[in-house]
Amino acid sequence: MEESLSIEETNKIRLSLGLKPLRVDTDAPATSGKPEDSVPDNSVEAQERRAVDNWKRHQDDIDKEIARKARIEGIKKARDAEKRFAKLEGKGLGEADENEEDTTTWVRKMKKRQKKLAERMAREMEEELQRAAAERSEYTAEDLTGVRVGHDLGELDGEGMVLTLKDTTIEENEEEGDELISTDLAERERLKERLDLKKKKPTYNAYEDESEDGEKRILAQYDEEIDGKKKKRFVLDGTGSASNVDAHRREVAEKLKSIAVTLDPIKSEASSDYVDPATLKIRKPKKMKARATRKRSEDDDDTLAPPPEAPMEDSMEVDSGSAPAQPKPKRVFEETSFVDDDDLQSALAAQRRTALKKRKMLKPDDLARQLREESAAAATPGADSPIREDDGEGEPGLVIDETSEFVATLRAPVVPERRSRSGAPAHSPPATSMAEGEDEDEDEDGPEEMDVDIKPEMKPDSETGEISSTGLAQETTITHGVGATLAMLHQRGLLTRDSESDVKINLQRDREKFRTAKRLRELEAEEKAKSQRLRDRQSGKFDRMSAREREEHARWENKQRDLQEAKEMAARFKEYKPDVKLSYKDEFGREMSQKEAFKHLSHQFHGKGSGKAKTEKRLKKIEDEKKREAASSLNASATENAVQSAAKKSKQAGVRLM
Amino acid sequence: MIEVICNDRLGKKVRVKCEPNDTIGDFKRLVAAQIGTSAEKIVLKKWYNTFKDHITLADYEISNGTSLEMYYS
Repeated sequence: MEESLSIEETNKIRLSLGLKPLRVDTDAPATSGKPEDSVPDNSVEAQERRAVDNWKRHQDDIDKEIARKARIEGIKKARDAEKRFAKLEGKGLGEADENEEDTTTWVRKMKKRQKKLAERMAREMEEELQRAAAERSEYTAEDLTGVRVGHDLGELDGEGMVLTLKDTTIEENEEEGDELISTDLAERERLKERLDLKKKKPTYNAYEDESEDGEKRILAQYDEEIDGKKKKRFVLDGTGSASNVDAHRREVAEKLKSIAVTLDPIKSEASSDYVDPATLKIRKPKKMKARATRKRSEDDDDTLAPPPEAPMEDSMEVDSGSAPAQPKPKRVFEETSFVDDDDLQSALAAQRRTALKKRKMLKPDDLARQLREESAAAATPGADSPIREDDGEGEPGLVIDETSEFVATLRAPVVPERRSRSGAPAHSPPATSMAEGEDEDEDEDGPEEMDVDIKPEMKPDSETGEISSTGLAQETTITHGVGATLAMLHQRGLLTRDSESDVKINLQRDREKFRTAKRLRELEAEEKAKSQRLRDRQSGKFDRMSAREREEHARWENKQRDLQEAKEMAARFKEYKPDVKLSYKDEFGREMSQKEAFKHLSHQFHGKGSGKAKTEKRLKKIEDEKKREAASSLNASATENAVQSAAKKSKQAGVRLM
Repeated sequence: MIEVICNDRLGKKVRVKCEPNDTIGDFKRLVAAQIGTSAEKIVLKKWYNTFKDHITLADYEISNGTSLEMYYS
């Protein structure tokens, strides 16, 4: 299947194409085997061969490296092992000692050691003996020379006191040497110190120069901190007494001397501005709370209550008036009676009393009189005042004036109409028109009312369009028959009249005429055809014809007749004016508007209606419309509705002002 | 020297002797000499790889016994 050329042929082609001849594999190894080939062999095989060589060389290198590392590792290990065992050189426990001593040398050694031990023991014994001798010697006052005692000589009383070595640190001991103290005394001193600290004496000394020892010092309170505590101590001498007793004595004498004694007689003290409270004698007032209050209230009653003679004329009033007045002052004084200070209280009471006296006492009868006077004064100017109501003169409870009425009518125009209907009928005929209702209200008397009632009946109907003096249109009535009713309905917007209704009516008439004419003509034509047929039959025309011919003739005749009829009709229809009106009715029989109709058609066309919400909305709208139509009777609110709906239809926003 | 098989699957199948460092262009001329179609018309493909003229067979890793698809443009 596969076509293939031999190598020679291929080579021939290659030569003709300007390519190198093929290198046959057989002689390839021969050429590659000779490295002395100066020309670098770039053939793929040669490259591969070189690559393999390279790879081998690389592998060899790696192997060599690994071997080298292994050798180094081995050497290192060996060295480590050697190092580890280096410590273990020498003899082991199990190994035999090479330089074992013989018995004689060992005996010699032992003897030497024994001798050394004996010498040491002898020396120790000697030392022990010496120490024992030293201890045995007596401890006397002599030994205590130069030892200090950490107390003042005065503090130590004659009785035997046990002094002990003071407990110090080594350093302190090095510095100061041994010191004897009495634990009792030391304890007492410490306690005193603590108490002093607790007292917290003021550090500030106003009379600096009057310090205890007479010396003048600056900030003496810090002396202790700076210099350390001054210690009173003495040193024992060999006899067991204090070595510096004389010095101590001198000190004491000096101290005594420094206390100065003034010889001036004692000066009397400067008299104080204030009386010394201790010198004063105060009489303690007796406290008699309950009793005092009662007495005082009685007193007050005397002063405050009106004299019994005054209210004689109208005793009733006085009783009722004074009864509530009495407890008032009592209460006031009860409150104040809790105050202990008698003087203050009495002063206050007096003040209060004067104040009360100053104020005019208002008795109820006085009040009444005053009021009367005032009212009289007010009445004289003649102006109307609200107080007059109290006088009880027969005044009407509700005043209705023109203004209020006007306002009322402004607010609710429907109400007066109704009232007139319910209230008026007593003296007005039942046929009173609604239009007159308003007039009626404004009239004040019955007879005039009657006149007004009669007037509109005499007026012509055309007047309804005019505007009356009240500013409102005259109401139309339904009392004048169907025409008036229709007019009223039309006025209220319940009925709408077409503008071109006349044209329509004319058209209708024409059509009717046309139809009757047409029917007549048809009848005529039929008659004619019948008579023709009869004539034909009578003339014996058919007798001569065969049945087929007869049939044909009849058909021809019919055709002719039809043709003639059609011609006639065409002529007649020339003057036919069709009145095209597309009206669509929905499923409720309602007339649909153009928009609705379009929607309906669209829905029919696409086979799907509006959704639930929209359907509901539409249904509600229809329902509302129906209701409105049903409700739109003769009542006035319907008029409003009509107006509103009309405004809605004409797309004019606005508010109707009544 | 390698041998490459070219098959157009329309009845022409040739085995061509060539060198790995021949370019595809050279190879096409060899093929053209064997099948008698001009070299410019030959398109060599392996699946969707169209081989370009200036690249050698070794670069496309075409070795001994490889079969190539041959189309005519």
